[in-house]
Amino acid sequence: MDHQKGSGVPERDLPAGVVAAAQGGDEAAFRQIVERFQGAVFAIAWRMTHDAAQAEDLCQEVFLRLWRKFHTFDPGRPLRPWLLRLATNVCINALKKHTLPTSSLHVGEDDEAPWEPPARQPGPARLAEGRELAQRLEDAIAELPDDYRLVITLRHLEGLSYEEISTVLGWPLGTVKVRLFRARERLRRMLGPALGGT
Amino acid sequence: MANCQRSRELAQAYLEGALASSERAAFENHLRACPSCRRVVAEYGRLFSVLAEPAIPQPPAHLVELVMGRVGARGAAAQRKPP
Repeated sequence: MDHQKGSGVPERDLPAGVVAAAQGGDEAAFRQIVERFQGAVFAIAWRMTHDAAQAEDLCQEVFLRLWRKFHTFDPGRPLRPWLLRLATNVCINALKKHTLPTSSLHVGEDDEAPWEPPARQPGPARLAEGRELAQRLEDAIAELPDDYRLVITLRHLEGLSYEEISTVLGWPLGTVKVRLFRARERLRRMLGPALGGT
Repeated sequence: MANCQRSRELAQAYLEGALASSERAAFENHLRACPSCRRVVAEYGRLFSVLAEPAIPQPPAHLVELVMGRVGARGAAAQRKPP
């Protein structure tokens, strides 16, 4: 199965003329938007569900909402962060409605409970390089609270800055930093020896 | 480094290039003397590299057509509505 590449090289916004045409109801222009951003939207939906069929449904919902709500978009601003915010809202709302499996929807600021390792820890011999480690990482991310999954995805997959994440998720900058730090720390501890530590 | 939480915060910021030059130099000095923090930095470094190459599948090939089919259906339905 082909996999998506990671962050650092996020898709650039489309030319303003394409976005304006799509806003005006041009389906060919809107198709370009779907083609350009389907990977980013699907990645968020997949990270929140870890289920291809559910991610596909959510993706369709995101783009249909974009089509319906395009008139509310300010063309003077970049489309990508706005669309990612729409995608996260669709996913969060689906989780709230319990239409998707979820761990916990919200992480409190005082989330200091010690993390306990899963009962079944694979040994280092099983944790080969490359894809196998990437798959272990996805399994670990699936166990994170939803807010941690979102912030990890926006930072490391979509390549957003802390400030952009703050805008997309509507969190204060300090909250972004704290949750990102805690999410990474949990992942480091969950993956343990597979990361090459002793 | 006595404060484990602080050392982990520094390790993450170090790998993201977010430390000021003086902080970076001080942390690197500390790393030379502290195997525990070197291990944490190495683990975060590996974590960051795997996060950049995730095992996330590509969207299905038919996704664009599905979306555009529904967009077109909505447009057609809107046009059929009487003014």
